Amino acid sequence: LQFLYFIVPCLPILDLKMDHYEGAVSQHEEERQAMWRIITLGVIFFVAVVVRLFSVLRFEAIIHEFDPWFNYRTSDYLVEHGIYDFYNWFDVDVWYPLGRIVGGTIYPGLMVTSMIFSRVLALVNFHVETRLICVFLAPIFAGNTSLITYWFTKEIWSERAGLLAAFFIAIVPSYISRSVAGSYDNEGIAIFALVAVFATFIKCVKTGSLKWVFISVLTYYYMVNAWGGYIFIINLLPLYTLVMLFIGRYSLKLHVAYSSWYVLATLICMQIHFVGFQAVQTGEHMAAAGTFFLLQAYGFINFVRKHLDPAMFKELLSTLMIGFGTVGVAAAIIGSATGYIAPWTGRFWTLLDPTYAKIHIPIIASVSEHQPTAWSSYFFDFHMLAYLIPVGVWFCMNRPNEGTIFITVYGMSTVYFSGVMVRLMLVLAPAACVLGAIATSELLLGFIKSLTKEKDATEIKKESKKKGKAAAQLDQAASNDKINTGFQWAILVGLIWTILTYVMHSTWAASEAYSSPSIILAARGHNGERIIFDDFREAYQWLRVNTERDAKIMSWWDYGYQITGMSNRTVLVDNNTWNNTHIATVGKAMASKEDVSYQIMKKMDVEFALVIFGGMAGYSSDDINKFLWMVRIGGTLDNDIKEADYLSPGGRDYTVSQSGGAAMLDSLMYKMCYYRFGEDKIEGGPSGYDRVRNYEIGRKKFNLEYIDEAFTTEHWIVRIYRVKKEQNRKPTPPPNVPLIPSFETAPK
Amino acid sequence: MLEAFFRIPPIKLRQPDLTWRPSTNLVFAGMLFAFWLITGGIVYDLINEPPVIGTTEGPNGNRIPEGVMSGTRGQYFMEGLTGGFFYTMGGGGLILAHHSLEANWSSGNKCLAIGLGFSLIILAKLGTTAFWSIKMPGYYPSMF
Repeated sequence: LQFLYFIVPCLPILDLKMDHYEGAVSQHEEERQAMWRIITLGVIFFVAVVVRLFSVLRFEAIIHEFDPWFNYRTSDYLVEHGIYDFYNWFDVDVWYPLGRIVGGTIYPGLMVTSMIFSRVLALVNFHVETRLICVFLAPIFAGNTSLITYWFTKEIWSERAGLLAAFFIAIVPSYISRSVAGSYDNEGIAIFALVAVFATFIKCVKTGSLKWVFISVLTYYYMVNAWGGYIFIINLLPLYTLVMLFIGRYSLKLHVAYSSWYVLATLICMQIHFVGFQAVQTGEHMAAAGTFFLLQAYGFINFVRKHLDPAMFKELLSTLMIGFGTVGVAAAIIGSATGYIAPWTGRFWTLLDPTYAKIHIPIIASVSEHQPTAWSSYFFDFHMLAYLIPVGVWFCMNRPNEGTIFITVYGMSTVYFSGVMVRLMLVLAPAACVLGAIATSELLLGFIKSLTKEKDATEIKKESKKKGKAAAQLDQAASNDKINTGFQWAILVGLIWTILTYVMHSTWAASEAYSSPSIILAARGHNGERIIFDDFREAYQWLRVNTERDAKIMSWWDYGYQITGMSNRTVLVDNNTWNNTHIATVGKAMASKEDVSYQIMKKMDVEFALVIFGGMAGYSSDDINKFLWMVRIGGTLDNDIKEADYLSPGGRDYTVSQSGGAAMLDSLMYKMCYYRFGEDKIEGGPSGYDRVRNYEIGRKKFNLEYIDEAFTTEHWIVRIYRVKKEQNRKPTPPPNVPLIPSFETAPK
Repeated sequence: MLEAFFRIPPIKLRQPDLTWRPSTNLVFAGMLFAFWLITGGIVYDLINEPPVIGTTEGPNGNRIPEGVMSGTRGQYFMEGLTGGFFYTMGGGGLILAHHSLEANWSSGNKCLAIGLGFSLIILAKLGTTAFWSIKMPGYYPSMF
């Protein structure tokens, strides 16, 4: 399949006859080209879908990870109850006892898209389960993205580059990572909408027609529905306009396109409940407004300049500039000072000042996707495109027009943002594919033309003139030509070889790195047989079947969406992380001693507590490894919880062995993870040997006073505890009780 | 009147040219420099402050320097900048080789340019292969 994918698109791209017929193309030639185009794009669409199906083939069609479970649950609700109930939905199953207004805090595009697919299929009597639609939606939209990128690049550069861009983006690993089958997340459809908005906007600027402005605004409406990343578009298009003004490419088409686009886009994005009046009240949208007014001022000045003679205009210009400038600055100051215009929120401010989140908002800093990028991610996620981005920018800068300037601005700004956060490599992917396609197309064309050039009449004349010179110089020129040709062949063959390795690398990365469902784990045993760890679903099914419908589950926020999605039970905190105080309360409960935690759990009506423990199975993303973040976040609520207490007393190690901190070994998290673990010997080793931390644990025998073990899964990955009811006769002890007698430590 | 107290030096000041725009090549050079820094992971370096070169324990307990951190999650400072330089160098070599096709140079200069471009590309390839074999030993497409 890899070789097929490599050969078929290359044929029409290398078909040089496309060049010889400029203008009058014969009917037969046109049909032939159209046929090649359709076949190539069809193969590209097919491969874009198929390369994302590895996890469905290896496991089953299941929703992956964490966030997609929430999206699936809401899509299910929408398909069942209809759009009005969905918009007015107040979810009482999450963030107990606060609840969550789902209708107003969600980007509904993904769910509505699934609902449309579901209804359309039902119209032709295919009643497809919502789960299957959700699993396979992202690969289909990846195919759509390839097609729209083809059109986008065709607008900017040429047909050849368009086909190459579609070829690249169908399998670029960075896009695959967020749109595999099962990864039912906003980015799967948002990248399609992003490229569509850019493509239609370029059309607007090129033609200056309102028809394209309307189409572009409707596409933008879909984008705002789909993803919070629309902030990028609403800041990139003003930046592009400013760059065009700066380099002196102001034109009436640009003015009409941007002004009408801005007005209509702002109006239409306010129709979404989640955005609402944020579009005119927050700092993230102010760049677009500022550019809008600046453009009007610039247009006005230009208009006036045409009707005055230069001397009069010069006098007027300084007055006009001071006037407009004062009004603008005054508006900005009044807006920010009265608080009407909110400053940039932390999530987006981190992009401009990367150190902000680390100091002020630990929850944002702790997410692994928000870490800055190391150099190797560029090679792994883009392979040859990482080398071709500067080459593409070079070609674009040598042929400046509206389209190429846009792609340069888009490319360089996303290169910066991708350096700040790993998650944003995804936004660089379309730009990298387009720039890489432009570069590849021009390089291949240049080298092939130079190598297949026949000596025409002018060349022969030159050579006969040269015969008058010395023979040595002639020989030198001939051998230089031979060396040149040799190098050109080498580079050409190397380029084609690199495209082949790009295909191989991308399919390998899709298969090995980006196709794990995260909810089912697999490992190789001794004989190479596959061991499946299905503990998560085992535990959630246990919860679904063995607990009351209104049971409240306390766990760390990572697992909230999965618990509500699969077990259909109420949780305290989930991945939405909108209330830091509530999360800090859970963090404090996990990090405190059993009696303090019991008070918190009673106050929150918690009946079950759930932890993820990887020490038996060797699963390293467990709660003990996340525990320091719980301490840090819990410490923002209660100053008694200090990180230093949980590290080892002598050094600064984070450890659960005998040399661990006293608060660490006495915390609820430690007890829940290691209850009864010290009694097991694993494969002839010592008892209580933690396979992830690779040492024996510090405290092996202890009793639980306020909780009971309810369920532990087969490989001990998920452990569920029931919170005991209060006793009738014994009064509940006050929080600061000294160590209870059942406490036993191994001698130090 | 001021001349009575101060001796004014003979300097002629000009208003800076407000219509100066940087040339294409200057802008491109700036972008290439920024591309090198960013793909070299300079933001990662600012936040996580890794050492310039790491150290590991040798077999006899002595310290040996380690240039490349294994695993794709981290990098050392110098390793990052070198990796970014591979990307920039590879791209620069391709640009040079392509430019030599259509420039008005003598054939000797063209030969030199394309040879230099080719060697830059090859060096970038070899360097990335070498680093990658340390970073991810289980990398399957060994043909690169």
